Formats: sequence, structure tokens, C-alpha cells
Amino acid sequence: MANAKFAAFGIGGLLLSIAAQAGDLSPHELLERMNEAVRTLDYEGRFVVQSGEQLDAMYIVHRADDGAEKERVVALNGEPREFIRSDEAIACLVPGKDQHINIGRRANGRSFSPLRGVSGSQLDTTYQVELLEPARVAGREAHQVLIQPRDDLRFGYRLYVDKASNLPLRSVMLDDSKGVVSQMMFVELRVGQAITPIERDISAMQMARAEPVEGSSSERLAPPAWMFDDLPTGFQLNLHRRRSDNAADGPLEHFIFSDGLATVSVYVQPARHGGEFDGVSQRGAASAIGRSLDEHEVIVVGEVPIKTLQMFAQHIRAARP
Amino acid sequence: MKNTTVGELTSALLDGELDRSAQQAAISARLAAEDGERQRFGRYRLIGDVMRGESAVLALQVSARVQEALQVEPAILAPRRRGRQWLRPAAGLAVAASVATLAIVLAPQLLTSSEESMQPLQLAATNPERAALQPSLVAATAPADSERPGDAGSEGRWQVLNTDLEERLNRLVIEHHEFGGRTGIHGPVPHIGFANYGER
Repeated sequence: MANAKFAAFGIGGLLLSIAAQAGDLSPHELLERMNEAVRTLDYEGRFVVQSGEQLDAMYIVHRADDGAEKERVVALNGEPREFIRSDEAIACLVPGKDQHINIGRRANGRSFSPLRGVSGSQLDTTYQVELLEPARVAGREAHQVLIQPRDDLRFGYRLYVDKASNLPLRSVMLDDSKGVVSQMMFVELRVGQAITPIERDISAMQMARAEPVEGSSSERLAPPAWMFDDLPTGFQLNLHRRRSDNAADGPLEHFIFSDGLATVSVYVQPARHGGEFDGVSQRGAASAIGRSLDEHEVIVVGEVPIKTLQMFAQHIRAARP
Repeated sequence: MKNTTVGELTSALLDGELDRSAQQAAISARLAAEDGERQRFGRYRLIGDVMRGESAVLALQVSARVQEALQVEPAILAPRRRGRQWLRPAAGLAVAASVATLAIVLAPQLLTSSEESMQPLQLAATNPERAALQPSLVAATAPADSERPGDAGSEGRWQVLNTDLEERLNRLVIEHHEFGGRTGIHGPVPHIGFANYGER
């Protein structure tokens, strides 16, 4: 009994010690700071990405000049390729193929973070978030955050957040059996000063044409033509957008749901009468489900278990009789 | 005729503001005679095409002269490495790929998009000599040995049956991440954290 008390005291002391090391920072605050850091800091480094059996190495340089993000990411293995992005445009280079693809301007013109506005209590309804013992990643001291889902409708995460900058040094996505779905990890990171300029590449984005406004105001403001009878626990509608009939890919309604961390997109388009996606597919940690409904094609994508996507696909119906 | 006037004329012609039949002969003669004007022509045409977003396509290759001209044009700097080609947005890509860090992972596939959509421009691209003679832009071509979707065991590909569907799914995932946001939960680059592409 004495040993148990001692052990309990020891564990309690350890937790207090962890909290003290985190500067009395709650894990929710740490997530908010991380969310802010990836968008607002200047940083440069190399990281590896694992998904399934595939491993890729990347180089990234990110700058935030007067609040405007600029970023360049270069693949260090496999087919040579890199992309550059700002708040307004994105371009992708494939120098090994002597090609440059300009993929246009970002539609919303700025980062949109589902974490913003998500309260700790909201997050707590679907995840258990806790600080674990600090760790060392890429030669830097890191807070370790374990985010465990409270059900099997979403994946968990183990995060290693740089103590000095709040940048994520390592992120591991975990399935319900704690198996690794995917992960990234910096092996080298510099923050703040002496970051490589990327203006040369950004100039390429000046070639990007402005993205036309998607449809008329009345089109965009029209209520959704589709609704959901039920949603998986914790998911809320974050965004609804409508692509114009005049768009190259045809009209489309797009719903984005989030539980604060995971996001799911539901797309509804008129049926193509041939070539519709009907079934399940996966790519890395992303999954997609397609089905036909009332002369429309419904496609649900997200980095969540397939059963979660199925729930979205099953509970959508036309809003008008 | 002063160079500036020729430049304005070239620009106006390409913007459709002049009677094409009446002016084209003079412009063509000038272009044939003067290297600088040929470069200017290509540059203006490229700018016009891109700014108007007329292309329903794909991949465009800038001729060597135009590319050289772009390298010294401060307003529209091209990549400095010689030999790179410019690609205009794919039809759907301009919308869908509006975003996309995922582009770096998907680039190999995006650059070899569906045969159906590439077909009209492949004719030009598959003839290198003809491509070289184009005054400005021709399409890039998909490698003949490009990997087809549905290949068993390809970790970085959608498990779907046809190229068109795979491309559509790629676009939708890109849109998903563009509008879904960036939290750092997947690392600094959200799309890269979960997806990759098959070795080719």
C-alpha cells in the first residue's frame, strides 16, 4: 500500500513536473500556438514523411513577411519536384522533367484553420489531449502531446512540438490500434534568422492568373441543396461553398466538416452518366468514398477511418423535396 | 517604326484590338527580321494567354527564345534554369488545384494527366521538330511509359480503375486541404503529411 501511495505520488509529481516544464501551458494552448507558428514564423529545414511503406524526404523554407506567407517545399528523393506558395498563388516545378506547372491562385487567398475557434471543451468531446514527457527531435527539445480519440471515428496523433518555436517537429497519425498511419519528422530545423530567401521562386507565381469569383453572389449565397440527417459525433459544418455552373469542372457543392482536428469534405456533383466514382479508395492516409444519389455523384474524402466517411455518405439527402 | 510602337502594336494585335488581317503581315515581317521583336511577340503572347486564362489546358512549352526573354523580363521572371517549360493550368486544375501543397506529391501525375484531355495537344508535342518551330507555346506530352492508376501495390496511388477518376480524386483532395485548413497537426505542410506518390 505504501508502495502504491509512493507510486501515485511519484506519478503525480511527474505530471506536475511535466506541466512545470511546459511552463504551465495547457495542451490546448500548445496546439493553438503550434497552429499559429506554422503560419507566422520564418523557418527552414529538412523533414521526412512516411505513409504506408513509402518514405520521402523534403526540404522546406517558410517565410512570413508582413503577415504574408511564402513557402517553398522541395522533394529530396524520388522524382525531382518542388512547389512554391504564397497567400495568393501556388506553382509547382518539376525541373527533372523540364516542366513547370502553374496551378493557379489559391481560392480563398489565405490560410483557413479549423483549429481557430475550436474551444478546448469542444476538442475534449472527441479527443483526450495530454502532455507527456518532453522528448528530443531534430536536436531540439520538444513538448510531447498525445491526442487520443474517444471513439473509433477519427485518428489519434502524437505530436512533438518545439519548445523554442512551437513548430511541430514530429507528427504521427495513429489508428485505433496505435498503429502508425502516417508521420512526418524534421531532421533539421532552423527558425527565425538567416532563412533562405524565396523571392526568386515567388516571381513565378506572378504568372498565375487570378482565380475568377466562383459564381454570382446569388449562386454563392443560395442555401445548400443538400443536407445531412445525422453527423458523426463531434463533427460540425465548417464551410459550405458552391462552384459555379460555369466552372471548368462543372457545378459542385462542397461541405467541409471538422471535429477540431480532423476534416472531412463532402462533394456533390451532377451525375456524369459514366465514370462516376462508386466505392472506396485510399491513398496514403486519405480515403475516399463515392456513391450515386438522386442523379448526383457524392464523393466524401478525408483523413479519417472509412467508417466515418461512410456515415457522411449515408446521411446526405436532397434538401428540397 | 520605333521599337516601342512595334511593341504596342504587337501587344494590341495579340489582345485582338487590331484588324488582324491588316496588321499581321507587317508584324510577321518585323518578327522575321528582328530577333527582339520575335522575343517580344512570344512574351506578350505568353502574358496574354496566362492573364486571360484562356487555356483549357495543360502544359505549355515556351520556346527557347521566349524563355530567354522571360529570364530578363523583371515583371514576369521565369525560372532561371534553362530548359524548364511553363505549363498553364489544366482545365479543372485551375479551379481545383487552386491550392495545394499536395501538388508536390501529385505533380508527377498532374503533369501526365488523362490521355483524353491531353489528346488535342499531344499532336504538337509528340513532334519535337514541330514543337521547336512553334512561335511560342506548345503542349508538353505525357511520357509513354507513365504509370497507370490501379497498378497493384502502388502505395501512392488511388486504388481506382481509370486515370480520369484518379485525377478527379486528386483534385478533390487538394480542394479538401485548401479549404480544410492548416493546423500543423500533419506537420508544417498539411498535404504532404498523409500522401505521397508512386515511384515511377
